[in-house]
Amino acid sequence: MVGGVYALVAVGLTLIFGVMKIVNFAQGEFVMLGMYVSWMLATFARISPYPGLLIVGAVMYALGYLVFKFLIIRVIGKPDEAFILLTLGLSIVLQNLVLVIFGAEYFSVDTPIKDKAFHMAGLSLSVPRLIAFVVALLMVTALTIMLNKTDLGRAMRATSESREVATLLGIDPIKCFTIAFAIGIVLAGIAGVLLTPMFYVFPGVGTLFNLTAFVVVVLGGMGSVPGALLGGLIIGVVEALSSTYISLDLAQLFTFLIFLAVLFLRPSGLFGEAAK
Amino acid sequence: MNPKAAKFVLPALIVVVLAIPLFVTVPYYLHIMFMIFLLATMGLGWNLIGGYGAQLSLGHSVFFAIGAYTAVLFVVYKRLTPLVGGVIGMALAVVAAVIIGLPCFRLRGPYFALATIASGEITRTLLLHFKDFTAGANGVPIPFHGNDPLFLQFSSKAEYYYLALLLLAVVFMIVRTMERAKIGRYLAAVREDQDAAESLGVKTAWVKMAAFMLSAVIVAACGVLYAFTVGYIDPDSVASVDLSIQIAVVVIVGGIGTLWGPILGAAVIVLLTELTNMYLGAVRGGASLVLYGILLIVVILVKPNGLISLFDRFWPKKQVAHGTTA
Amino acid sequence: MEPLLKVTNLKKSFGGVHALKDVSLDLDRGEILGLIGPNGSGKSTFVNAIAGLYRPDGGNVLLEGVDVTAQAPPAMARHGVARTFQSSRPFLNLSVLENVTIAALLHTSRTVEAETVALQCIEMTGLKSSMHLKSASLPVEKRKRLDLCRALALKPKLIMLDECLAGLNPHEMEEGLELVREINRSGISVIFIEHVMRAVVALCHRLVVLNQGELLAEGAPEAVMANEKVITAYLGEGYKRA
Repeated sequence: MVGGVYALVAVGLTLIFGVMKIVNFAQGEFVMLGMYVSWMLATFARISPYPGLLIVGAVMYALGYLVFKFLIIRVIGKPDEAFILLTLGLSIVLQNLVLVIFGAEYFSVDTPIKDKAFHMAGLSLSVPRLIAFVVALLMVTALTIMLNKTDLGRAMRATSESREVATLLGIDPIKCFTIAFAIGIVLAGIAGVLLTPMFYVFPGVGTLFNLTAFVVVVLGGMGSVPGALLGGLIIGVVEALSSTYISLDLAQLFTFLIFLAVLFLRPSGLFGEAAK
Repeated sequence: MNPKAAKFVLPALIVVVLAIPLFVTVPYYLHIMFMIFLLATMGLGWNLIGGYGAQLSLGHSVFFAIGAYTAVLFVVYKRLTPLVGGVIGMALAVVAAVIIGLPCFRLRGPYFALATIASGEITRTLLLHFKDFTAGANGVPIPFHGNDPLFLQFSSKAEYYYLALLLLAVVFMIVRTMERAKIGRYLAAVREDQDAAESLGVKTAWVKMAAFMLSAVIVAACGVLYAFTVGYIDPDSVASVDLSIQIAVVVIVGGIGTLWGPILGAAVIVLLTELTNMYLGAVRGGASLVLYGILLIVVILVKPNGLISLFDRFWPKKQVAHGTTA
Repeated sequence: MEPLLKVTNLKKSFGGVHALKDVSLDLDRGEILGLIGPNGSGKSTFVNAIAGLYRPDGGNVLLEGVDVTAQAPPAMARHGVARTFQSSRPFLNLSVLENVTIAALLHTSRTVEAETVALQCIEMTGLKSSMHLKSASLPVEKRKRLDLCRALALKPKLIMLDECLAGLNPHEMEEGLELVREINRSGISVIFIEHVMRAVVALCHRLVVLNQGELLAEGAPEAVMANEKVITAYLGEGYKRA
């Protein structure tokens, strides 16, 4: 079920890559920020995570917009190393800024439904995970519809194919990039909110999701939204199975091995466009 | 500064650096210098593949860890001197480089970077997992029993300081020779235009692998020295992604693809980190890293060729190699 | 006398596009062979297939009797096959001398030796005055000469020139032709792809015409140029009568 959330983080990542060909190495940190905002809302404003989703969404959008306007835009068109290192630097700054401001303690957010679970057909499904999964599914569906049916979505897809052609068609690629990036960040933030009932909130939590998100995106195919969804579910299942049946600390190992296997054997992933 | 005076800067610097331990006895300060030398050496090694080879590896901590663990475990299990154990570690690092490099070099750009990160994490996970052998997360302390050069045990920091300086000097000379030799030139060709290079007879795969292997050896050697200086290793300190990133950042901030860049970068980053910790260290330890991240971002956006490009006017001829240029 | 290069039934397809259908030709030692044909006829594909950039789907390539089919570019360079690219590809951040030295390092491990060879080639191609300039700062004409210079430094038996005259003014073109002649006189065989007919006729000993991946005609330049099929291929049916 956590796979749904992995998918959400990954979808943001794949969207950013799909439209601008930039791999955002700081995606996990935005998840972490979403968690912190959610925690702050809960602690200082008594707003529970789920209702707080909208607020977080808005905050993340603004943040994504600012980050893009001041940082990302300067590396578009530059060689790959530039944005890899830029987003890497960003992730370091964000993670440690949070550390400095909030300290290293583990926070947790309590919600009334935190420990509730559905019992169904002999399986116990925890409610927060279920909600996370459902919301993730909804968001991915909404995104897919947006990409395929709306003008904006079409514009973004055109831009991802070819900047020059998009410009000729009257589309402003920079605007598309900005919105794509911002949406990607929003998805990360929302994923963070959905995760707060299940995970502790601390500065380093983003790193865990960063790596997993990359694996999911590569597995599903860079640039493919349905791929990211499917990939997220697969990885979620793999992790659950390997931690149960094989060994807890080796669970991550399997994820990485799958990652490498995909990179070497089928870099375009399950659904993706051909790798560079 | 006129060029004539500039000629004296380098020798003066060397004299100063050699003399420091004679006047400074506080171990902490010597340790800072040690870290600068070590990071500079690792940076020089990384530069071979990351700068001259233009392949952004974010997994070099693998080689550091292999060097460190091999030497330490040989001491712990077999009472074998790290002078031999370290060489074995360096050889293993080369093997690892081949295993990692062969598949990874087929990938471009961010895919390559991600694959190297994955290799690093896999190594760290394996080190944690086989705890019967490697002591896992507990780490391996190196029992100290007084001066014993054969086992790299010294009671004062000064010897370690000089060892690190020596290692830096040796690696520097090696890289400098390589730059101008056939391999260095072939690397430049591969970096500029792989297809054109191939049409001129350059076996790009071999060239990249050679650079990768050499960089592995260098970083492994540093791992050995580090282990015995600090006296304790564990997977999170020697095999982490953070270390891999730090090695790369040192070179990028200093000047990717240049000879002095890694040295400048190491000095800047270590000093910046230590100063920040000294004055703002109370602020929950993250402040220095924030600055470190900001420095990286600023360099990427403003001076992609690294801080060394600030000194361009003093150089008689143009830099041999360029890296992340717009 | 055995030909230097013997190509038999060379085939190459990309997806459904048959770029080379069944091309056979011979190149004699010391010959300058012109390879012409309308755009898309497969000329560059042919060169790339021999040079090793593309892997042929069928056919043989023999160089001095040795089978070199489907070998990678570095191996082909070692066998003595050099080529230039349609748009020149110097190592932009390196100087002219550094560019040529890299090529010269094919035959030696010692940089000093390689530089000496490089200097000779630079003299021959008239680039001495630009020797230490960064190749990115060179104008088109000098870049083309640099390409040629690098190819020379490989000490090849055969040089394949892919539209090396494109973008040059008539004077530069004359100089270019003379340079190719000089290279040929030093014993190197040449395959010369060009669209500038005047140059092709003036320079080449023999012409081969490709059309849609197939050999259309071959022979002495004047004869080939007058060949009806060739004219049709270039200008289309309607011009046949002209």
